[in-house]
Amino acid sequence: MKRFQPLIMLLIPFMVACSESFLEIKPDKKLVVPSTLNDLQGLLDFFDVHNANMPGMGELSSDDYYLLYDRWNTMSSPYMKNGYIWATEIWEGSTSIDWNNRYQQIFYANYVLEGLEKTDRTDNQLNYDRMKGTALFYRAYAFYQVAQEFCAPYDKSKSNNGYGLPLRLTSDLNAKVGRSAIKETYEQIVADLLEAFKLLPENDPYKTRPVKAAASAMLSRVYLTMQEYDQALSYAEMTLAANYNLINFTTLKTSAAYPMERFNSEVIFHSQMTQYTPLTSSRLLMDTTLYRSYASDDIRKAAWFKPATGGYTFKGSYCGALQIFNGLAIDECYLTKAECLARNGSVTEAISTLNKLLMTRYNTGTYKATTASSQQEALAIILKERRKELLFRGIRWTDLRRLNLEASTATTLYRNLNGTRYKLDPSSLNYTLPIADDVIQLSNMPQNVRE
Amino acid sequence: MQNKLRYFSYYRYLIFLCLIIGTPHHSFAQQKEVKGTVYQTNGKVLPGVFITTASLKASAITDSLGHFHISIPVAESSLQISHIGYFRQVVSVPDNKSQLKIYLDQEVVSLDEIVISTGYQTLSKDKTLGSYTLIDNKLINRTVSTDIISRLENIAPSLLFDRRFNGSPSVSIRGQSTIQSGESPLIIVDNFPYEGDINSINPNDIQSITVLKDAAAASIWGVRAGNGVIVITTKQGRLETPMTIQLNSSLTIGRKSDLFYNQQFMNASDFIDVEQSLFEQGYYAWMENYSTHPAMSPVVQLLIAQRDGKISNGEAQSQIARYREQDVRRDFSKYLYQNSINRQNSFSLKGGGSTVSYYLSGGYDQNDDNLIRNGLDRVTVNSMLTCHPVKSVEITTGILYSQSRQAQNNGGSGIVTSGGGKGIYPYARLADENGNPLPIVRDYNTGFISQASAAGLLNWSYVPLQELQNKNYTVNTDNIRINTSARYRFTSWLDMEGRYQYETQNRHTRELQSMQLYSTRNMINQYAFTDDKDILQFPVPKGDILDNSYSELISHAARAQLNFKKSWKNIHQLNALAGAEIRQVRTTGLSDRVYGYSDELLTTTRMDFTTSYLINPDGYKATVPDRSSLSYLTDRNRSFYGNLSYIYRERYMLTGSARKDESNLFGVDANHKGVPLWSTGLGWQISSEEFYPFKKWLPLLKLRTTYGYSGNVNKSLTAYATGYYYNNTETNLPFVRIMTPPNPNLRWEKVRMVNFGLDFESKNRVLSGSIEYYQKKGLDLIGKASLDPTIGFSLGGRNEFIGNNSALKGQGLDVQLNIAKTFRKFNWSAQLLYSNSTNKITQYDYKSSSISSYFSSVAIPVPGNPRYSLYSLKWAGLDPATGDPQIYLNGEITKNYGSILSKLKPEDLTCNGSALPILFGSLRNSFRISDFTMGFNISYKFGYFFRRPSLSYSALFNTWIGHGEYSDRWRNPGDEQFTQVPSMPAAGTTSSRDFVYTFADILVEKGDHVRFQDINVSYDLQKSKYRWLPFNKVSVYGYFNNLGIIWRANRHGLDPDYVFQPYPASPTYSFGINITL
Repeated sequence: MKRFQPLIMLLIPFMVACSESFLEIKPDKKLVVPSTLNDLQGLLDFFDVHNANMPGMGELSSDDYYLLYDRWNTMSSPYMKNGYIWATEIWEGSTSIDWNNRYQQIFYANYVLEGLEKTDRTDNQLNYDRMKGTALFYRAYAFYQVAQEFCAPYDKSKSNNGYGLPLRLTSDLNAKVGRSAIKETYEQIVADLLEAFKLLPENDPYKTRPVKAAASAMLSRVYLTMQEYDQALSYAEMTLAANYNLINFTTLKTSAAYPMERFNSEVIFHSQMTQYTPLTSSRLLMDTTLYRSYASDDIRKAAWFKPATGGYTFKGSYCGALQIFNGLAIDECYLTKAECLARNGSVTEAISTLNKLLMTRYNTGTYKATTASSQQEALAIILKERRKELLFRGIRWTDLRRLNLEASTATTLYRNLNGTRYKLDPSSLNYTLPIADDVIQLSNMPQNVRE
Repeated sequence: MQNKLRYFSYYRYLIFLCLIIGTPHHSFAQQKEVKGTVYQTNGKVLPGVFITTASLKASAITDSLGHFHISIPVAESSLQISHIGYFRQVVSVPDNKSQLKIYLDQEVVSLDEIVISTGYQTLSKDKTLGSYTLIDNKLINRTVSTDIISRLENIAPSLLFDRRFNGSPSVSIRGQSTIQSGESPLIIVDNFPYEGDINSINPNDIQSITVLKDAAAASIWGVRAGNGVIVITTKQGRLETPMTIQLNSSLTIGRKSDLFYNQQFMNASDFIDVEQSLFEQGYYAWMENYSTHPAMSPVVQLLIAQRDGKISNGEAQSQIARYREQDVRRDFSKYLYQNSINRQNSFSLKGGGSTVSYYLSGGYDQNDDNLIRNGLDRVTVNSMLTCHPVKSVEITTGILYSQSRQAQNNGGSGIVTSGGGKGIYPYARLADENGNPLPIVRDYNTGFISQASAAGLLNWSYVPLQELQNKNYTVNTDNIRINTSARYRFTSWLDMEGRYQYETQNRHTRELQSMQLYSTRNMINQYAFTDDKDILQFPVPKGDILDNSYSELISHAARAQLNFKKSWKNIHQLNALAGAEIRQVRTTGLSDRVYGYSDELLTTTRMDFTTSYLINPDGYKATVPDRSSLSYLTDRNRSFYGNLSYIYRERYMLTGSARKDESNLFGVDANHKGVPLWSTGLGWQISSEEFYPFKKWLPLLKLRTTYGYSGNVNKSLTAYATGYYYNNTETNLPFVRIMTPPNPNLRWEKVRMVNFGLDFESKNRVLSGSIEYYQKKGLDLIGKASLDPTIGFSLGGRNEFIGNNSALKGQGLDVQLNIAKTFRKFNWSAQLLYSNSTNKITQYDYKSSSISSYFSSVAIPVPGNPRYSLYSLKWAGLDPATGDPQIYLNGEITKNYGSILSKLKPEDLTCNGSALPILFGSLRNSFRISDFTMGFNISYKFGYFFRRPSLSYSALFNTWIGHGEYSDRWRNPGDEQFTQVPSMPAAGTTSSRDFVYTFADILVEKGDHVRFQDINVSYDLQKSKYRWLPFNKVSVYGYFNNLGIIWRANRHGLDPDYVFQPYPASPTYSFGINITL
């Protein structure tokens, strides 16, 4: 027996190895299988997915700015060049990050919603509800932005049976989802936001996380897009009741490179757009008429614009940097409220709402309160001020699509490049972008019609 | 508690098992025991020798140490000892119990013993069926190098070194077996997988290398053997041999890299012409007021100054004329490159007494790279002891230590650029006439950086030679390996061995980025801002930045194995082993950065990593990067394996092996399934048959075939949705990024291979060799599948899913022919290697939406084509009117660049063929006259294609990377008769125009070439011949490598092995001396 002892010693490690736990150790300690509430919160706090890289092709196609020919010509991405001139063919083989990034946000939101379903709510009700509300808000936020580029405008007076978005409500990679109708798309967005509104808390220390006011501000924006002005009004008012203060522009250092601060007091929910080349302050030039429409004592004129070769460029982003802010801020709610009031005939109230906002934008004591004698005049003033306040915020493109539905507020857009003039009619099919080639190839979805 | 009980019962079971198999074999009363050892005449032991009595009633085979032990009837008086390649010998059985010592004479003088090692056992090659290649010590020492792996090139069939990309070459055995997973063969050093850096091994310590190529050879290594296995065996002492001391010293000088080889360079004069033309077209106008102040070349800045009247026309012109004379390659060559010098010194001491044998060695390598200030120092110490405290026990312990210090301060010409994705303007100067370093434009234009000092910022200029002098980047690696084994022999036919290996590797990477370095100053300046009180603040403090990164690898591996070896008379031989193995490799890492560091006082500055600052002048917000990170990886494996070979009458052979692997890699579900892999083989030694008619002139003829499975591991995948935690720089909130979607069906990759082999040997081994044909199939291979972006899972912007959805098949032929002939004092030997290896993807679900992915340096896999394929567009010549490039699309000539990229479908591309050689090998000759030996090796590669670099105008305009063929471009109608180089387009023309030309079939070249690989010469003096010699043996040698291409198919002077590298490897010249005391 003794002569075997050393050999038996040798075998001990193998017996240890036979225990089941030997192979159950994680190959990488850092690896998580996201399932706890903490992990799910981590998925919701992913800034690059939920707060950045927001769709920008709409802004790129809008009329608040223009490009000089050589700036346009030296851009390397064909789809940016094409987007600028509303060409029939946009993508030329490249993928659309506007679409892809939002559907990634939807995937994360769905994954969290499914994760929450497997988690017990009882011990953590507040957090649980907040996370569920956040995920629903993100899903709606993403669907809404994609719809502004890839679906035809919602027209309250019509059936809205045209192609909407594929409404992916699961993170399952194998689920097949086709395009819904426009109506269904907006119904889903509204449903998610209403639920989120119920669940979200009043406050959060981080402006990158949605709160109740973000849901109501977003509902107000969505209803406005759907021309449901009464609903838009009531959610705008609800948002205004929350504790977000207009900045007194006299306190701004207008000479600063970027006078607006990130996460400033007007911001309800922070998000920023993909940095498309034409939308960088060194490439773009402000639309001349728009720039001239700012009065000389309007602080925005100095704070938001700076001279550039051939004109003026923009530096007023609520990101406090080069990136373009397209989140939710309280100034938008003043303008939405004013517009909805004007539309339902409450002209005086509408104008006084507008004045409340504009007072903060002018030098101390120089602002003369606007007046309007008719509903039509009031609406015209409010829409003009809406454009002046909400430029480079990802809102103009949606506004153009909505206002073009009525002849009185429709606009025809033009671009001039090296002697060539491009035109976009109010009713043009090119207000809806084509879906990128790779998506069509892999999904066999019906494509949007262009002209 | 339950687990403990389970161990206990296991324990008892094992004891029981040991008792049964450990019961000594009782011999018959009329028998006597004979023990002994068989040696070659040179004193080396001979394993695998067959020993039998005259009556054939008893037989034995010597073990790996040459020992045998035989019980014979008392009546027997003699033993026959026979071994292939040796003269048969008959010895009489001694009356006393003394040990027999038997010396066998070789039939052919130069014959080396062919004992291969699989890492689990050593085998005589004659008794194997698998596909093995043995590289013996002599062949290993034919070349001179710091590392061991590169010595395998061109001396083993089917081993291909791919040097297309920068860095260490990737090695493949018999082509590709996988698509997405690792392609490198498994490397075994002294019976266990080597986990550390293989470059820490001193080649002088290596005894032999065995390459395992087919399933039967490799499947014993299971799931990691799919790419083949390289088994490295280090030197050991031998019992009963006198001590020998060996000293080896060599010096290798490598010629400076040829910077003028690279044709992707445009001379300064042409480049300036292009810049002037673009300037006139207003191409640079946007840059002048751009907020980021992008870098503009000196000529463009001159032209702007001239336009604005800041300098006179004459001044501008004369300055430009001076620039036209410059060539930055001259400066690169002068200031960044040098002749490399590698010095290698080693000594070893080996020998053995009756119970202990030893091998001790030390080595010192000192390399100065051909890039100035780069180099390597390496020290290796090795000690290997084997002892036999009692006859039946063998204990081995080995300790290997290596320490290396690597300096990487020079990135070569490729990193001296103007930043922002640009290359360098060809008229840049690194130093003035007196050798004083000069700045070059980088990241920002000169006007902007010249204001920096006045604004209180640090000097913002980039001076490449100052960078080179001040860079301080070192990698220190310590590697310790402890090997122990114990073998206990129960009887002559059964033994048991236990092995344990501990390996640890510590690596410390240190980069001190002093304030002298541009990157440090740039960072400090970028974060600087003026606060409310108009005071300039530096969030990144003025001072050095120190990056440290430590990694530690600790591996434990243990194995228990039973070996059975018995023969019955001369008829049956059975050789079997069974064992179990566990391994754990743990890698932990820690990286850190400190700011405001002082190397004198070791002081650092406390940092705020949470505040965002506006980056100057780019205008985005960022926090100061916090570079601390930790890692902790564990790789655990458990395997059971067995191997069996049976030989009948030395004619018929049957082998089988099986292995089951389990690991912690995939997540529990996939794990518990494990993966059983197996192989089997059949062999027929025709030459041993009675009827074999050619015994005279072809004494050996053997047919063999094998079939089996091995596997491949991909560590990057799991069965669950997994993610990692990160920190948001914007909000400082932790967040989770999903890295893999769930995949419950994940499996191991499998490689199935069938191999047919024919071995032959003519009389006296004048001609010998083997021919092997194989087919293989990679099954369940990990591959990509496209995902509709709408599904929303993406990583790094790519929408794809990775799973076991691909397959590949391959086949090939390996031929090895050896010739050895002696004419009196003249001896000639030659070795011809010929390998043919082709493969084809049979399944791959990923279709890229972007046509460019078919043209990247590694094209995406396409079913029906080789794994590494080259694609091209059908060229339709230049437009005779404009010199625009044109291609055929759907049979029509097109130059509609705007839509070409979206219209092109993968079906429109031509697959030219493989991007890796499908036919390759070498011819090695060696001549010996008396004491002088000379040899050379010629290698060849055929059957593949590469894309010739060409001129891209968009690259030229945007990144300043031109091509010499600019001077051949189309200029006037009619030029299309002589040139295919497109005309220069207007500024802002789409890059698709270049795309059409860059990837046209006219730029695809055949890679075929024949290379004069090397020459080696040596002069050996032996004391036995020259009595006056103070040493036993002295050998003076020279080795000259990379001697150039003899013939190539392309007419552009390009080296197809270095397609993506700026220049090929330079010739090296080594001289050395080897002394045996």
